Amino acid sequence: MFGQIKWKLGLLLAAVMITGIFMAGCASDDGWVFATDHEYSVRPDGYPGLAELYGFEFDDVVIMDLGITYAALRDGEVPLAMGFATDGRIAAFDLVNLVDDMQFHPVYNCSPNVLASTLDDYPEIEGILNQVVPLLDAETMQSLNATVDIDEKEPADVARDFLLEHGLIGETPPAADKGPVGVGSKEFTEQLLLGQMAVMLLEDNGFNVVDNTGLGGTALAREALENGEIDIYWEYTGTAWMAHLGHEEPLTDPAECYQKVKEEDLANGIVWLDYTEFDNTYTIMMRRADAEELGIVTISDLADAINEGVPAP
Amino acid sequence: MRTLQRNWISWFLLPLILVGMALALIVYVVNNPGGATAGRALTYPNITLYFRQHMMMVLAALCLSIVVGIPAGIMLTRPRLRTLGRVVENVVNVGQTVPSLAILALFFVYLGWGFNTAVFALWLYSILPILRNTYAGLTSIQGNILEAARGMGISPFRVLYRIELPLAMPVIIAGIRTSVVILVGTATLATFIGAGGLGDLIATGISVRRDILVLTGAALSAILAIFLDHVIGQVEAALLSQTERRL
Repeated sequence: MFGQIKWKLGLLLAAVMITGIFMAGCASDDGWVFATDHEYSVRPDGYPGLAELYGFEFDDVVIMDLGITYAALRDGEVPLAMGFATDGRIAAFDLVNLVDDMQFHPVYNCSPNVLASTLDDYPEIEGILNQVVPLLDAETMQSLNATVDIDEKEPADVARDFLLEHGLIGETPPAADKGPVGVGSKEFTEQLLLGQMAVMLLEDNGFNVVDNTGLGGTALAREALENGEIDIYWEYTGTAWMAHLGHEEPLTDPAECYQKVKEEDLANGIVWLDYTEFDNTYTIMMRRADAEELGIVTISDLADAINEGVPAP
Repeated sequence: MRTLQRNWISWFLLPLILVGMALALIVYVVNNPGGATAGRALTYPNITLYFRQHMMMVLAALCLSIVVGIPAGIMLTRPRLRTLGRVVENVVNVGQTVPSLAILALFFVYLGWGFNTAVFALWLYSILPILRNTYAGLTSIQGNILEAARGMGISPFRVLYRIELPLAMPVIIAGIRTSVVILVGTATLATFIGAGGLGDLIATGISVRRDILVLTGAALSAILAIFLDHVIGQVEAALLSQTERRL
């Protein structure tokens, strides 16, 4: 039975193979390849704007999940990657942040977002959470992140130790008589730490807390807050300005960005408490050895190297 | 004559409509991205690249699955391996329940990021329906048909080639169709391990909250799935009509 249609099948197979060969021709893995997460690839305060301001283009941009960019860079699979400035892996993997000498990257200070309706019921939440905010500078956050990512401690243990050390909570929380209050967070280390801190601070003040930390990405956390499925999570000023409030132009002044976001989000029934000193902005990373060998310290140096045709490490 | 006409229409009408829909969608979203952020992802070169990466992953994985799945299914139904066949079938059924994202993540750990890892993981995932359906198709053939064939002195290979495979073919092709639809959907997850594809649009859209990116990525992959399913369906119809003519 196959005899008469053999040629048809053959034709189909040939077509598939030709398409395959044609499409295989488009892959290129050499040169100044840049590993980035999804968000950074399109945001105006991400790669498109960076390339425009500094006047260069990477040979190829590979989009992957946030968090595997660090290992891809460490393992030599890409010469360049994006990361976040407070990530503990930067020092641990012997990577360097290139200096953003033209101050392109916008500000991402972090602040607890609380539903206005929840704050109406429990106004003391503001004071409780604001206690921890001034303690969080860049160095502290980086070392807390490293304790989780590199030393493989549990975020909850690290958060508890930190709060105990600063005398913000007692050894055992009192019996819960208020709430319930839902605390969420995104899925990465810093957010888990901040989320756990919020959970513990509230529990220490007699709240019955529903722990929803590690919800997923930015959009999920925000939707959960908007829908009232959680009452609190920590958001970054720059993220809210662009992603949630839909602005296209990034802001680079911490206080200005915070004020504008706070004002606009009040209309959405969301209250921004105080903001941290640390600014978890985007950073462009290289391996330390490569950067030293090529004499690249700033993003301008990198742009020059790419434009002059220096071969990628 | 009438059959011929109907065949031509079914061969080309639906694919044409699908291609037209895809092109119209692409032109529309590139010209109306609704903001600069979405517009940076929605360019013709970008969409073409994502589409190509997606097709490439799906076709590579599908070809590999067919090449491995069908022979494996045939082997497991031969008398000597029949007991093993039942074991493998159960293992395969359990394997299918592992989430596709977990499979991608698992192989990312060992093989690193990129296209090859994605194809490998997709291949493992898509082989299951093909293997299972080949096995089921061949074992469901009534014993007396095969006995009659053997009684006529036909050699085992010819029994397989002339009787078993043609009878099991609709089930085998149904497996390939299931596989291709699963593949197109699952390949959208390959974006998380840096393999590109239409998932780049979907995941980017989710992370910057631009619905148009999500919708474009999802719609294009749905169109691709329907398209490939249709093509394989037509191959099936062609094979069936040949069998019928012979009967």
